[in-house]
Amino acid sequence: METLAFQGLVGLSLAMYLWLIAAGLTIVFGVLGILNFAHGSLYMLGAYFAFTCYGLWGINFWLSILLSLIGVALVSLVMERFFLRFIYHLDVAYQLLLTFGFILIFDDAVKITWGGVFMIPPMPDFFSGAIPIFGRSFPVYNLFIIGAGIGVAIGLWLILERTWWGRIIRASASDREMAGAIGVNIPILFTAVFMFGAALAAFGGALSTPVRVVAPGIGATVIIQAFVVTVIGGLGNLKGAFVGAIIVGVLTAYGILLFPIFELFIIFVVMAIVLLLKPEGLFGG
Amino acid sequence: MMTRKGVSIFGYGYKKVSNLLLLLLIVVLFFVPQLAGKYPMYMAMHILILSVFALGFNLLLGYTGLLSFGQAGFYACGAYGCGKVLILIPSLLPGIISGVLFAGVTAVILGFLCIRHTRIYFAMLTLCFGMMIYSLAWKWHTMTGGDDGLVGIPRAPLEIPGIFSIDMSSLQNYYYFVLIVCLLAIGLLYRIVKSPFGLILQGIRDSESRVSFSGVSVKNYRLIAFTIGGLYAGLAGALLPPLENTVTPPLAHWTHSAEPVLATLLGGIHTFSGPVVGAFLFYVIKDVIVRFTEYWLICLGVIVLALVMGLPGGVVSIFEQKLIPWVRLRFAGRSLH
Amino acid sequence: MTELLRTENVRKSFGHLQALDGVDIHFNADALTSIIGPNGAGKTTLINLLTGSLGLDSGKIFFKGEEITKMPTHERVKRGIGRSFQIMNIFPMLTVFQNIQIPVLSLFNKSLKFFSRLDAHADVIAEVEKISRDVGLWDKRELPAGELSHGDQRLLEMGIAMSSQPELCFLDEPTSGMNPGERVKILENIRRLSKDKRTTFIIVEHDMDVVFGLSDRIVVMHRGKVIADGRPDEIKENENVREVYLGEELEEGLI
Repeated sequence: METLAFQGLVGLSLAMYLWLIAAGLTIVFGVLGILNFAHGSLYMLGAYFAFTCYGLWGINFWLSILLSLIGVALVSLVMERFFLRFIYHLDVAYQLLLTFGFILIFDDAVKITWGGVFMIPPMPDFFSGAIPIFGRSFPVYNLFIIGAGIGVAIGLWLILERTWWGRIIRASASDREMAGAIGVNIPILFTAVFMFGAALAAFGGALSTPVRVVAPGIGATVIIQAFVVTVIGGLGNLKGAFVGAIIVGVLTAYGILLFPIFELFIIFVVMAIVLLLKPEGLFGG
Repeated sequence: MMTRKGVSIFGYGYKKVSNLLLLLLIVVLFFVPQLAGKYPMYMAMHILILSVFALGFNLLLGYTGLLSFGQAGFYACGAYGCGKVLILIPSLLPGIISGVLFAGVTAVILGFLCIRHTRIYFAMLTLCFGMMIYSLAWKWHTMTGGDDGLVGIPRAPLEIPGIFSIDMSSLQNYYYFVLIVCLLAIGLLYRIVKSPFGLILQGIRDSESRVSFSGVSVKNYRLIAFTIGGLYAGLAGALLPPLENTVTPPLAHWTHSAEPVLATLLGGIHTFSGPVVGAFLFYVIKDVIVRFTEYWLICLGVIVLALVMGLPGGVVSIFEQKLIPWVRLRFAGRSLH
Repeated sequence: MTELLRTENVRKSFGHLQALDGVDIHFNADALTSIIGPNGAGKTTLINLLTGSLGLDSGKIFFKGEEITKMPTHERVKRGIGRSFQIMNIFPMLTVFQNIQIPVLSLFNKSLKFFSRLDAHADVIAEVEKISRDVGLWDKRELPAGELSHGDQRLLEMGIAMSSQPELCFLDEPTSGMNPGERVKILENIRRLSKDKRTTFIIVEHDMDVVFGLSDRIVVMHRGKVIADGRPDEIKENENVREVYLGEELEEGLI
């Protein structure tokens, strides 16, 4: 029983990475209507930038995260301003193909700049160690991750529901033309939202560096997981993304524990079931 | 493509010229073993296999308007299916047929789940299901050999028991087998695309509601198209094990699904021959780039960006929109229409 | 007069908006009917429901005696319902000929043929030629539909709708966005096809000239309900209708 509860907690921390990526993907899709295939690559870049600052140059942990966010936001600025902007009106196939091109570029660019697989840098002092929960040792860092994820969820909810910015974003998401007609500067808004989504992904990547290996190709793995999360939760729905992330994270953790060979497969089966029963996703429609 | 009546190049109709070129190409392909040797034979086989793979993909994208990022899953079904049968029954035909059938059945089942959805969802679903197949291929050691995959697959003889048996151990013999099978498959798909069924698919691409209002069940036709795409991916996959003697999980990974996507992008989405031209270009470009740098993905990525931003119709579109009209204006004595 | 289509207490809402609030209506053969009403009255929603593009919340729909409430669009089309769209719905990348060929292939039950060549079906080709000539687009048959003028696209739209040989055909604002010359052509087409008596037209229109000029019967809708239903002269006199239509269109129609 305790093992199950413990594994549930492990799943929760796994879920938070997924949530951070899926949140950015969902916001970008909801407002811009773009499904950014390269979103996982932005997560990967966030991890690499943070690793470089913190692991290679010894910069303060929090500062490293900030620098990583800025770096990835700049990359995403270039992506949106010079490429994506020109294909908004085209079929979604073009978006997927274009962002797929970016995946290829980022994957090799990362190899060229940083080489192959990396070691995991040491944990920042204040997070090292573990505390006993459910009779086992649970890493403090993972608690931090869970806290950060929930913090982002609350923060996003506050921004979208309670601030003027949030209202504009929600309005533009539901009716772009109308928003433009009442004076919202759509191009700038889109760029800003895209960068914000990218920053969320980078945040996830940066947070992952002390515990997960940083290597080329993690972007590709992560985007698949993000897609599964958003399909389960409902495309374009933030609440769905959060719930979907928790479902996928917890199921993966239980899968690793109970059915080690098939833990990856289980996630897809769950996705298939959701699709059969409620195609728009749990919160979609 | 509709024929443009009354236009001639060098006195021959446009259609006749392209048919002539096609015939020439087929003849050249038949003489590759004699004229060129082992490496070009090998490359030609890979190009043919990718052509079949990409043509199936483009039946979905160019003709039906469905972008599938999961075709590698069916390719892997074909490869693993063929491989496993060949290890048990060293005879080429049962192996190939098993692979194709396995891919087809999988396509029907997964298609049923995917086809009810709109374009974005559809693309995502195919991606995810393709990766589902990858996860099975990678982890299910007992069935698929896991990370190592299937090894020691024989290049079995092509035989019908009691009637004939052709040894395939020489690369040349297998080359001719692959060539003939691929040409037949390509020809068959051409017939399908030019049939009433093919026209309905294009209607679905252009306006699915209008097709509904013409009395056609869009879902059923999409499912059929998806199955054909899966069968062709399966055929491409099934031709691989006898050639390489091994089958490994990366064949099912979505980055492998990207190959027919790229080939089609390169060659052109809107024509039948686009994917074939693109397959050829894909291998040529890869070959060239790899001589200079190991970082060929980034070059490919840049090419993709250039194509999507600048040339959505692919290379064949330059041919049709710029070159042919130019040639016509220069050499034809009559007006264009 | 044979009854073709009948609805029983059809309701449809979108969130808080009750688009259709208990509609009981029937359409008989050979009576060209126009449906009019202010914006938001529910006209297009009704058509979407009757043709199967949308599902209803409650109520029933019967076509030629058979209940079609839950039937998908293509099944309704096979039984004889057709439609043209307000926003052009043609196949832009295909030629005019191919545009008409698709519904004809379906009508002749040849759409599933994988291996035969398209030009091998002489009966289909003959029928497509006839329809193209009927709508006056035979000369442009090799042009991609997306390259036609707006008026020609509307003609094509009608041609495609008629290709399925519907007994009951809904035309959703057939003259919208047309210049006078194009309007005359479309109306001529509608009149001619109506006289043939093989198709009964139900037209949603805002242009009162068209409505009063063509219709045998007018149905007036307002806020999801039918508020008047009768001959054109009856509708002109109707108090409720005048009240609802504060705009100029009805005034013009009366003069």
